[in-house]
Amino acid sequence: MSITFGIKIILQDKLSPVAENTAIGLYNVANDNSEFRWIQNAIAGVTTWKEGMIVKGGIKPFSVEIDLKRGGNTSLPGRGSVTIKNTDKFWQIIDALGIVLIGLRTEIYVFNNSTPVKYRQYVCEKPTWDNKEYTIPFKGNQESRRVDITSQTNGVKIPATFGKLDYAKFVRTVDTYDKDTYTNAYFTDPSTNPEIKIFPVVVLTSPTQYRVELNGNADILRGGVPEDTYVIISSGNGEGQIRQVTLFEVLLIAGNDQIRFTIKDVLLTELSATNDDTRSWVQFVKIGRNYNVDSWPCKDFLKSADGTATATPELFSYADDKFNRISDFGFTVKDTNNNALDIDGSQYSDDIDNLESFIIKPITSLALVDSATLEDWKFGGTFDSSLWEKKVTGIYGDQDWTDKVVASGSLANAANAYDRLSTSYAEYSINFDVSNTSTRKLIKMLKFGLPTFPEDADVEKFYFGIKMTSVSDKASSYPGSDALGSILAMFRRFAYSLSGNNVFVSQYMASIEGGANNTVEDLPDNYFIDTVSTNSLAFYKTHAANIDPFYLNGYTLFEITGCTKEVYNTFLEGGIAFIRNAGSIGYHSDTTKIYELAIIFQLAVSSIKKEIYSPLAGRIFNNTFAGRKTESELISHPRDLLETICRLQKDDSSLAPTAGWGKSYAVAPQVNTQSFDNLNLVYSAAGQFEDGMTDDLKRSICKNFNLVNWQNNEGAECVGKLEAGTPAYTVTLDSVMDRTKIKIIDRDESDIYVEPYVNYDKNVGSGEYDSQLKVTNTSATNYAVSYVTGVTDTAKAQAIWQACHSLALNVHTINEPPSDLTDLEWANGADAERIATDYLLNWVTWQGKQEIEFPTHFNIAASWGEMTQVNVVFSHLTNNSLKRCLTEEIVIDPNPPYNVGVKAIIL
Amino acid sequence: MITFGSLSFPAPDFGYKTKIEMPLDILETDDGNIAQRDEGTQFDKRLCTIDLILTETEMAALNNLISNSSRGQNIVLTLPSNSGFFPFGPDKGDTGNFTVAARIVTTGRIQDNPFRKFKVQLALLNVGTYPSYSLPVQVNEGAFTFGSISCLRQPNALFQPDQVYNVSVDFTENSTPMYTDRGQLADYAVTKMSMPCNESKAAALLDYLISTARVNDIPMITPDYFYPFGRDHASPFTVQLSSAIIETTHENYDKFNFELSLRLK
Repeated sequence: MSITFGIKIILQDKLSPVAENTAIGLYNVANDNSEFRWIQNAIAGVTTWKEGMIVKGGIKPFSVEIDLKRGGNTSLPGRGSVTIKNTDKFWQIIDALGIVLIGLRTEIYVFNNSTPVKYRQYVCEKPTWDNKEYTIPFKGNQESRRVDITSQTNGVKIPATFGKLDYAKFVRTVDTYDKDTYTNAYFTDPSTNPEIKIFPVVVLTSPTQYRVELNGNADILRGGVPEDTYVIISSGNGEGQIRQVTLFEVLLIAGNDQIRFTIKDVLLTELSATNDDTRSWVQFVKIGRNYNVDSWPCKDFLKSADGTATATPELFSYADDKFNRISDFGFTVKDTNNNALDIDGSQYSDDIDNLESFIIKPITSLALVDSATLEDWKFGGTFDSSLWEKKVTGIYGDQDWTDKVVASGSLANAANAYDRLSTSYAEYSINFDVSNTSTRKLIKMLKFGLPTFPEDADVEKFYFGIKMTSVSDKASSYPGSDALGSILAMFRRFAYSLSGNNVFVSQYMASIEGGANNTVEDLPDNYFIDTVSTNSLAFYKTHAANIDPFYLNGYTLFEITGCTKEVYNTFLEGGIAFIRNAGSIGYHSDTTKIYELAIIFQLAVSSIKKEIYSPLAGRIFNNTFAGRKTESELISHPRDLLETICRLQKDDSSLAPTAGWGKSYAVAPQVNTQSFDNLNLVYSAAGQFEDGMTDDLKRSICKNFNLVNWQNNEGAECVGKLEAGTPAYTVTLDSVMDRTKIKIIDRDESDIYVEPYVNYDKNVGSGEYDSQLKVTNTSATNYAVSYVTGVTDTAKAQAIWQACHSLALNVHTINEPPSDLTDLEWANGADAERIATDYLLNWVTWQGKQEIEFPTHFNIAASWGEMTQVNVVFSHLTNNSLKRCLTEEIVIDPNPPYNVGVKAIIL
Repeated sequence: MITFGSLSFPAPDFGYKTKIEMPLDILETDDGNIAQRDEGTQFDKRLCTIDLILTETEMAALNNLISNSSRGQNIVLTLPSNSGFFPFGPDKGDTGNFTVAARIVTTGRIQDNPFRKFKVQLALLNVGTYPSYSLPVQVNEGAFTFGSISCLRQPNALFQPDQVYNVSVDFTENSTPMYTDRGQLADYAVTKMSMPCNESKAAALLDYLISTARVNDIPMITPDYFYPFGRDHASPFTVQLSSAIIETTHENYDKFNFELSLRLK
């Protein structure tokens, strides 16, 4: 076998090639980087590799290495070196050319004939030289490819977020409060009362527009759309309210000029422009509050209830060792990448960091009431609902109207009443024909399912959320003598019937006044998932029936009085009744369009800190990986996580991504895609990382999922499961160069943990792990369920304990396992326990394995690398039994007699 | 008698050696060639190692000279005209004043024969300029040509060729051979020889090696059938010194010997 080794060192001079110097084996490459190419000796047909540069035995043994004693891992850098002659002042020649070898890619080639085949890949380290020799050590690029995939904004580190997390941390990246810009001088000229920072309101233009007076003549250029600007009601009516300003307009008025400002959301308490103590004075400030969960596009915000996607993030603060729900609408998603939040500009208490929080949940179902009577519903007051009988489903009449009214009704598109779309609606239409002139009353009655109480929120008040219009050709009236509204919302807590006894029904009503032809609306714009731009007028602006019975607004009108968390949780269902009075003979129609029904939970005022949290599906691929992935898909499979990070890390290509290593994918990623595609390991992994060094992340993925990551001879990243395969090689003494050098290395008791534990479910609020699997009492004779805690799979629990028990009998030692073995950074979310259980099982069955070392020859082991499956059979050291091994270290000596040192773990 | 500082004693016996260390960086490369570099003749070193047989008085005087009177100082070695003692090689002559640094290599020890005489080994390193010396007229003695020096004698024991075929073979434990071949272009040949010369040829050859050959190619011609690099290679040859050290032994009157290591180009 003809074997000659060559060394290639690739410069980074593509854009400005150095001068070629073939005397030292430096060759230019057209349109690419120049290369040093040195070969051990001349070979016929090889003309562009320089012989005579490498000193005798100058290519020292080189290695690839990985440590599998503790399970999954990433490969180690390995080592090697080449020594070339320095008698011709090589050092000076390259110095004059400006060549610095440190960090350059080094490739080892094997010539079986005149064609070089790349065999290994390394990077140059610090060279040394003397009169005769110039030595260039090299090692794998593992330590030089580390980059940080997180980023920083304004000195704040933005984490990297993967998979579906119950809570992902958003860090405050913009935190500014500028109260000094908007002075009188700003709006007029620099010399006119720069000390004035509050302005009197002089005109109430509309619920969203107000005018303030300046002192002096306004600068007309100050009009326009301001950024991150808020108005604070400094004194007078409405004091303490804060709203975002969306427009400044300059009004030139005789005397002092004015500024008209437009606010994003209407105020809860109206301002005053009256010239007395009630006059409102306002201050304008610039406030920046941005939060980021990642700098990479993320998949979706999630609902905490079921993990499905939502366009409206559920937000939490973390205090008192728990996550506390805050307003869904205090922040808006900043852009389409789902990775940033901006303050919404509304819903503040008396401080920009104190949210007046609301959680608004749509109802879960809507249907016609079909019971024989309405006795299950108590309408309030003395109104006896039990006297009302079903005429047709959803329509009830008093006992007098039988045979005198013919009615029909239908409910269409019921689900539209809880789809959070502002334009779709459920339509409830009835027709009735009154046969005489008597006043006849009827009730349209719907029932609806209630959303779950937000258990993680501190709810102070409850409101009924509604958007509805009714059109009837009959005016409303009040049934009986009770002054009830024509529309009633109620909530049943409890109902049963005892023979001969009255049914007791406890209800809570939202008092909804209004006529038959009416619009009832109290939901804010940001409740809807489609675009609604009303300045949330219907939500904030109270517009009671005594102002206009046909138009009701303002959430405060719809309070479910007396409701508490405990009460709410006993609600069976909700009902909404429309009471109609057929005041004339003939055919009548009555149509109600229910756009949305919801429950508004008002939370205690939340103080927003530097972090907020939300259920989130993290990073998406954002790339197809050469047609193999869907850009918009979530990255959660361990192999995809690993490949993603491989593609983000610095590789040996000279093509750095524009955004920099770690911030976007490599232009020419070195990934063995087949290796990744072949990996069949189905977990949904998740984790959030504030320390985002690629190699640390890769190592943690490998450890958590029992994977091995190494580079092949092309330098491409590979992945494999840490498990026994089908070896292609069987090593006997026939393959060993010196049997006296075969060595078995027994297990090290310091690497064996007979009572291990695994921490998972990392709490991003506290930084601690919330869940643990633990093995105890491994010295007991027999297994008991209580010896393994946290593992719900009973078979696996017993297998784990038995493995530990066997080890305990062998090593007689109990050690505290290190955190890199116990803490699972990727076991979060839905699959957390399964990941942790499988990890623990793999760990306890893997630990304590022996290793073997033996020398073989390059002719046998030329193709071996990390993770090569081999069998070994030795008459003495394995007692002629076949042992499966997985190679950990291959050391190639490229000089006579070309021996290869092998170290492997015995499976 | 030679004068060594304040002492006088007979010239040393034949067999003394002179080692010439040239500042050559000679390096074997992996293809069987050598790479060389010469720092320059000004950094050549010549060291002579002599054995002296001294009386008790002479021994005491030498010890006193080294340890006391000239302790830590250079000493002038004065050779009378045609002394026959060539301390720093036949090309530097046997006459005149040589400034040396002296070191006792082995402490003088009493001898059985000659009785009551001490034998002491002394190393002398030349530290000054050499006295003027003209190379003697060469007296031909053979048919071997080395560089510009012709009519040299053939080496005493002919040659020790080493023809390296760059094929490695190792054996596994069941005697399976594992061949690895670098190819024929990786083969190379070296040789060693012990060259006897009379005084005139020794002076000429040494002068040639030191002044001219050094890291340069050296033409070498042997008569037929000598095969200095083995059967694969025939005269004429181009060779290079593969050692930066030349050691010459003054074996007897008018007889010097050189040990040379050569690489065939």
